[in-house]
Amino acid sequence: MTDLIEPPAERDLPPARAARMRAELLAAARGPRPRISRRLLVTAAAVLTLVAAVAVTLEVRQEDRTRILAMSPGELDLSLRRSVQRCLELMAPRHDGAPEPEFVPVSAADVAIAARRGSWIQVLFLNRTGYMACELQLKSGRLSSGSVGGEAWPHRGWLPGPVQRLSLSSTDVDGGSVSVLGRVSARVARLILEHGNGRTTTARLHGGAFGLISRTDDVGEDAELVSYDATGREIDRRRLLDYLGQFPHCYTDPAGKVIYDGPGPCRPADPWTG
Amino acid sequence: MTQTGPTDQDLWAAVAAGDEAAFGTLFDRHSRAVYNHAFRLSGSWSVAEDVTQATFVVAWRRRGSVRLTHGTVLPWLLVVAGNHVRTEWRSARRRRALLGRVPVEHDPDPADDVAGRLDDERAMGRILAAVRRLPRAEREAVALCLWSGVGYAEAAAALGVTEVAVRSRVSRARARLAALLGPAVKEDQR
Repeated sequence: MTDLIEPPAERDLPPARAARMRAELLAAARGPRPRISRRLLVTAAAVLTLVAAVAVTLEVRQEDRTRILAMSPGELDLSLRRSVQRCLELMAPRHDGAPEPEFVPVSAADVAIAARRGSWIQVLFLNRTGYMACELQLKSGRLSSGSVGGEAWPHRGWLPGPVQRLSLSSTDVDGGSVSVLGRVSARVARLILEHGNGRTTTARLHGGAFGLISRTDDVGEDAELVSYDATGREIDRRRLLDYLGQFPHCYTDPAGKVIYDGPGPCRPADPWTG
Repeated sequence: MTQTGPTDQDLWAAVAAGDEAAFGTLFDRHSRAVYNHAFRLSGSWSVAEDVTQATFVVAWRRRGSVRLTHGTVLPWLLVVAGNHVRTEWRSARRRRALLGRVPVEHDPDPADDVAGRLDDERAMGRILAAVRRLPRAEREAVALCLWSGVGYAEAAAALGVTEVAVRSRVSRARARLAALLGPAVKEDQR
């Protein structure tokens, strides 16, 4: 039996990636980069080759600042319609001998939200069985990488509080520019992302789903999703980037049974009618 | 294995005081273990890379609030990595990382053994199919104590439970896995 659960032999992090990761971590630890001195800037400018200058110029020109948030299949533009098809292709069985994930069957008609933030695209499919979240990255207009995942609803009719995050994409591991997709209960009239520095982004709500794309790329590690009811009263506040627990509390169904694990004391789960 | 240089305790104290070089040393010392632990929990080397980086980001962020109990920071890092895998930011329980399937533009790395890594992922996927049927607490115990070689006492401290509880979880996990895998073993032996 032990042999059957014996994992493959350990491997090293690929050296180049380990070095890059180490450098990024130390840069993050150092905080914002100090301003480059004028003398250094002049020296650096002098040694830049023409080729490098052209490459930098092209890169800047190609930076994609597109922001699209579609809350139904009818709102998809051409790029998002193509992305939905790519997502469906990525979910198709591979037949390559690897264990097939138990994906929830979805179709283009199940698209609840599709978001495009520059080269990053997210699509959230919701149906009666469950949800699937798909994330794609484009480079020069072509698919560079992608991932899909989801699950059958453990408790479709109940939410862990007024809001449930189902898909999050961010430029940095601790924030930056973000887009977030998920479900909300009917008592949420307004959902705000507080970036942590005074800036905010308001989510779009439609049919029990929400989507938001941060207006700026300054979402901090302590950013919070804040829900308000129709009277303008704050009814929920939770960290957006919570690594150590998916839910801020445990939540119970009307019979008092815990249906979402989390720190106590438990709160009543919110009904979902989407 | 004999550890040379400053102890984790010394390094962590320096990190808590904001010493980036000490943080770099801790990364060099433990990133491989975190990377492999994350792989064993996720079944994906690319997810394991993301998780490793995120784990050390959390370590830096929490440097002032974590106290080492057994002189090593590794069990705590592994628990953080485990939480990352579970609540991974892309939020998919049955997520399939497709970075190996679609062309990814990155710098070629001579250490990339693509075929070997794909074999690893298939093998780990089969193992995880059984291990994921265990309760979460038992999965954590298997990953920490059986796969990553963390001692019961250190695992208990990192998980915030008693050593007896960890031993009990490992024992129950073994029994459950024997029951789960028994039919498969018999099938193979036919």
